Amino acid sequence: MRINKNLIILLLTGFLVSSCLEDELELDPQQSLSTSTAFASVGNATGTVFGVYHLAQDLDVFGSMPQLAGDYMADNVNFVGTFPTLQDVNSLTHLADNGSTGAWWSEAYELISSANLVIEGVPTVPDIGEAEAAALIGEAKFLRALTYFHLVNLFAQPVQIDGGQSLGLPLILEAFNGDPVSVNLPRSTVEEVHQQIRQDLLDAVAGLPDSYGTDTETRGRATSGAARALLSRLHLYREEWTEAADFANQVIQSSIYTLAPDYTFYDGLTAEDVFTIVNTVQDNGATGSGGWDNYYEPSEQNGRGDGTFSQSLISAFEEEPGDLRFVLKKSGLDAANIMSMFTTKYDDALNDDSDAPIIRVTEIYLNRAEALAMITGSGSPNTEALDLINTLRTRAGLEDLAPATNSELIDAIAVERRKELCFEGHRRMDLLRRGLPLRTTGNLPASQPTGVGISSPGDDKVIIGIPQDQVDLSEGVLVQNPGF
Amino acid sequence: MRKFLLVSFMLMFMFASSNLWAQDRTVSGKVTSVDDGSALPGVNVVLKGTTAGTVTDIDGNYSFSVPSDGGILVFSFIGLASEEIDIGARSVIDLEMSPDVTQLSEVVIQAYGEQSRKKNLQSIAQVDGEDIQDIPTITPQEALNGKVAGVRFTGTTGILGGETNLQIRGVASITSGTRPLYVVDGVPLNDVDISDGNGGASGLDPLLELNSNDIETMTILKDASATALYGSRGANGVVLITTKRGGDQSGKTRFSFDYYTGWSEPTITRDLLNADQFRQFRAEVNTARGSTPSTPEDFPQDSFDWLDATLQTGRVESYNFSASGGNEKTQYFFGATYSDQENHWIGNDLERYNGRFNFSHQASDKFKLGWNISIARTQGDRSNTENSTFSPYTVANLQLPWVLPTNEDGDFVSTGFIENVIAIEELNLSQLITRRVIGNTYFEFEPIPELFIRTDFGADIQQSEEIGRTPALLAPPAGTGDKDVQQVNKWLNTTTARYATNFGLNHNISALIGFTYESQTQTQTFVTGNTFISDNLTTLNNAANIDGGGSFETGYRLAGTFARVNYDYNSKYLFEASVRRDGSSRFGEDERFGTFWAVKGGWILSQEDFLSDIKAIDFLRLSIGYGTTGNDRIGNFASLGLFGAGADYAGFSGIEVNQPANPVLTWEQVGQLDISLRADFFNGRLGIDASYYEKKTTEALLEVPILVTSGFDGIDLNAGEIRNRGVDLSIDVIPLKMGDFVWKTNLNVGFLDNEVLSLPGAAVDEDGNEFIASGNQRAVVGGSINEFYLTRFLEIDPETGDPVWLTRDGERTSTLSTADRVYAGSAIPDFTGGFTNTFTWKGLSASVFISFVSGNKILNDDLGFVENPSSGGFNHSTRVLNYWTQPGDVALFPRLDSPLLTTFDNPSTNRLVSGSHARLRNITLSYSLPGSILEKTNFLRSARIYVSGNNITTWFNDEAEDSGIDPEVNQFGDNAQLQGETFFSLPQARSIQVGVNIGF
Repeated sequence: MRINKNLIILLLTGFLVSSCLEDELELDPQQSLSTSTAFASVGNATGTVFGVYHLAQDLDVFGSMPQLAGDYMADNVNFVGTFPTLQDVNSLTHLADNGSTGAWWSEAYELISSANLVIEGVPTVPDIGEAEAAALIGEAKFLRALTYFHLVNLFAQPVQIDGGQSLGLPLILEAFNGDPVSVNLPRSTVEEVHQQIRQDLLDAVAGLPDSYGTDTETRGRATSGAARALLSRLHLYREEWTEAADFANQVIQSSIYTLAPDYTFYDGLTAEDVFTIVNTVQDNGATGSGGWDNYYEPSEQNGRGDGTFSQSLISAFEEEPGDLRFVLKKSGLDAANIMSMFTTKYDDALNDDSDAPIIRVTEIYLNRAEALAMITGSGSPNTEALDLINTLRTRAGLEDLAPATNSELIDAIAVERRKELCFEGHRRMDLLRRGLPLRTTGNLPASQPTGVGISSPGDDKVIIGIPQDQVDLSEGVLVQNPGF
Repeated sequence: MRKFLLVSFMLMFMFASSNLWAQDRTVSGKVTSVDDGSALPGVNVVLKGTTAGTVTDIDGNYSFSVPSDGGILVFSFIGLASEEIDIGARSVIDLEMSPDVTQLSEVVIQAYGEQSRKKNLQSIAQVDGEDIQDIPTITPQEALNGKVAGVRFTGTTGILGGETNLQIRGVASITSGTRPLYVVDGVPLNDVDISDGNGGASGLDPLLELNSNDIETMTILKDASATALYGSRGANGVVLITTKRGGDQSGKTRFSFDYYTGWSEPTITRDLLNADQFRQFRAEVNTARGSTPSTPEDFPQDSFDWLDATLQTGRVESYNFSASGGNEKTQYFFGATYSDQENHWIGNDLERYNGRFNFSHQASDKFKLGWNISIARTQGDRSNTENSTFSPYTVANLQLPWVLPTNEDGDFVSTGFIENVIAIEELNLSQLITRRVIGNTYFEFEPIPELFIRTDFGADIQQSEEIGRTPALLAPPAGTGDKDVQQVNKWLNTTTARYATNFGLNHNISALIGFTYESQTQTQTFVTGNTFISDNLTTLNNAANIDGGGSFETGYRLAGTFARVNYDYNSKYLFEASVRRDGSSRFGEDERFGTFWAVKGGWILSQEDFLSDIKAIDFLRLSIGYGTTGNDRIGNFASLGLFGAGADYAGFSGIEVNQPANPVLTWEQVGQLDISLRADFFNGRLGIDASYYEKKTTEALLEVPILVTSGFDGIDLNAGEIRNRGVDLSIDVIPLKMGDFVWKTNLNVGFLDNEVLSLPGAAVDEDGNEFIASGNQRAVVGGSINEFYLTRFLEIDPETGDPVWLTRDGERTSTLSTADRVYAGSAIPDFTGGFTNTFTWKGLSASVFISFVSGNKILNDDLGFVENPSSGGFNHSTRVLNYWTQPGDVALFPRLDSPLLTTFDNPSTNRLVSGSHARLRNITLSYSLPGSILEKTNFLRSARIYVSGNNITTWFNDEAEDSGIDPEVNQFGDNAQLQGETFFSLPQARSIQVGVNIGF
């Protein structure tokens, strides 16, 4: 009996101890936050918002690779780089399994997914103030809208082609719940995507502050002004001229933004900038594959020397001598070891810390000018639009224009827009939305066989294919773009 | 199968008859040991052919009723040779029993216990410390290479102290690691890599701080019945290591001293072009391709042999001192070792200091306590390897032969992208110091003879300190420095109770029950800085800028409850069942607990009457079993949705999602069937161990791609199925035994068939099979985990001088396309093994050990660089001189003006070679002084001198040898998805040792 008692006591003790220890198996990580603790305080939640900006810095999102492509698919940039997947995009022969363009899609959706998590998580933060919550959610919605807009411009035809009825993007608006099926959504139409972007931006206008305590934040974080500015661009692309002009005006009238007196504002976080993605030495989107400075700096200055002035852009500047914007250039060795012309807008490939230009007030001037001129239509030039353009020309050291007709003015605005915003990723959409070919025979990349790389509006290859692995994984839910 | 076991079990009970017998007279006597005459308690005394019998008492006496007409008494005891004595008319029978010479009598170590070899049902291989003492190893498990059937061993980076790759019965996991669980004196060791860099793909060896000299036995647990008690950590097999105890109870202290010294060189090196050859060749290439410089004179005219400058004679010296002894109450073992080793290429050395103290004390006849503790420090200079331009061996292959390491003044210069490794190894500080304490304290309580209770507190305390310092010359303008300290602390408690009894005479039953809890924390602190005022200042307080730093912490907890029951009937029918329930913090709340179990039944046929007359058969046992184990190596917090820091923006701290929540994540499950045979013939002259196993992993963790609209490209799912099946065979023979001359031989072979059964959710190949790709390898359904997937290279066309590849359909093509890739062989061998012959004559002994591997492929990625004539940026192998010059040439390389010259260097089967080889791994000659001389010294107990050679020769194929690679390469360490590849992997060492062992 004694033995049995001993045994029983031992067993009981054993099981007692191990059952007590079961609670000990609950262990919290120390180096990371679990999803619940990420939203346990306002400080943590703010960190998740900065995390979304961090994703926006990514090379494949707003870190230059797609923006550079937008300039070389069009006629501003001569792409000299040897990266095969990017050369395919350059020659408009890109396929849906292109590794580079696949990352444009996946990295952007990573940002959207994080923004969704913030939008859902912030309201659960204990003791968060209403305005505080609205501001954080506003930032996430601004970044989500900016990213959807960026994606829909790349992966879908502009509204001008099919009235917005062509396929846009799968609209993922909720945080990922762990079930892959929940994110297997069909592509909404371009129109639906645009409406979602508009709604996010309107929410952002309502929730966001006008400015922050420091220049870095006022220029580098989302503000109500930045949301209005992006609304102006959205409506411009949609040819909703009145709204485009109104939102632009709200920005121009704001004391927070003023036109810089000269062209020293690049990478400066000045009143010229409406929204900029800040890159620093420690923290930027550049990788070994590229970056704003890396692509646009000549090889002897630590850059890849991939993106040089196209002959077409040089001609555009040379047409009107004395343009101070054409001073923003230098010579250097390109990726093919040939002396070429480079922009000086990005100037430090050693540290890769040039900020990503997203919206600056000059664009808003151009938006309003174009919108007003389009409202006027034919006849005499719209005077306010002409004034806005002449303000920009004065800064560029050029004489005032005095066009005879409004349609001359409209053409002049397009030229100004090209010269102002070259190397900032606008050119492709500025051509497509106006029904113009990206490139014509005269300005093809030298390396391409004859005829390759010419486009017409609505061509399959002026946009990018949905990554083929994603189409395959969706099992028929994601429909591929025609021609891929 | 389970039904079969159940039926067997029931049958055993039916056989159990009561011991009713006509008992008319008494026979008694005393059983003593032939060795020292001491009394032997606990000896079984049974009347042959019956179940009647008794056991000797504490003084070795027995007394027992037998039939009046006598009969035969069988005396048996574990470790002693059984004796059969005819009673005749005697009433007193005294017996001296002698040790059993066959190894069957030995005890094997099992999970949380031990068992006699005879009754052991588990698939276990045990290697004694003595058997491997002459094989110089950095860490003990290296000595298992080729020694144990079913254990595959591959070297990795060649860095001293870098982890070697040990796989037991195949590759059971795709992503969760294949390393077995190592347990030292009952303490499961830490299982994390605590070094950051400078060692290539592999981390530090988990046994780096363990002293081979201290090891008594290493036991490899292979099947589920052996590993089930390690539950969620048993799937990759378990290696149990026991260290030496104080055995001698005579009160005398035994000392021993061991010393050896050795020299090493690489087994093979590549023939590279010298500067003149290189200039000449580049001029020819340029001339053919219409570029410049086109004459040798137009190239830089310096010469330097980088390979020669990075190689050196490796050296090792080791001193070991130990003392052991005690009395009947207290025993101890004390050991201390110092060793110093220098690698056979520059920049890598390792110094080790080990101390051990094992102690036990019998406080009363019911209570015993003790501890085992080892303290170690290692200190080494590390260097990069393989895919690094800082690696001496890689640079030796790649550096252009006209590049000089120094200028006219003799000062080091920077050599650009391919680094000046000579300067680096001369000037850089790259030091790794590890400190480790592994130990346990235990208390044993035996309230009654049948019950044994033990509680054990163990710890594995591990620290690594990495110190890096690069001087101004190599890190302009003013140098950089870094320091990284990591600590892994584990403690555990294990309490077990064993109860053993028999009812009737022939029903032996024993049960083990236990619980264990372990907790581990891992921390890391690091700081980096730059701008030092002087290169002589190494610490970071001298850095003007601290440009990085941080700390990190993680950990896990594990609680397990387990039990094992053993039953045998008359030592003839054996049965064993084990179960363990594990809970781990690593798993989601829903899947936190798992239960693992095993059952095994055995039948000792040689005990049966129908075999007992066959003299040739000493022993024959058949066993069959099935069980489950798990693999918990999924990372500490893999099931939680996690936000991580570092997602900063514009000077503000940000956090981003690192992984989605995965509450259903759980352990990989391995179910294993094992059928084993143990047979001994001719009085121990022939022994055979044979096992068939089928090991099926279900719920293997896979990273399955999901739509990136989730924000993630993949999610870990317990979905895959893998099967490893094979045969382990080990044969021991004593072919010759004449007087003092004995020839012993052992052959062991492990045959393995690894097959991926399903990979739900993975990508699908052209044939409709799911696969997971990793570099040039694929785990593919219907194939193995490591199928090379490459386009087939056919030849250099003798007519045109252009390379020819094959399309998927087998057509000749001059276009190398990834669309033409096919499955081109597996990195997993069909069989591996070893063959050892030992000859002894009096004090002389010679042993020859050959290991072999067959059926695997090796991918030689070196070729993309050193055999790429289109690039003048790296040095070349002399093989490039064999290029096509005229029709009819059968050449290795295309004509130099071939437009396909630039394509030729891309991956294809041109880089794939057979990995089959045999290697003379060890040959040892030794001489021990005979007892007669030792006695005269009045001091020496034993004295032995030996010389041994390792990797003396290798039988490999010409193609691989010409391209300068060693067959034992593994660039990606224990990454199960990338096996058998080399990218300037360091060749193994060929070495000679001379040593002495002295006992006094």
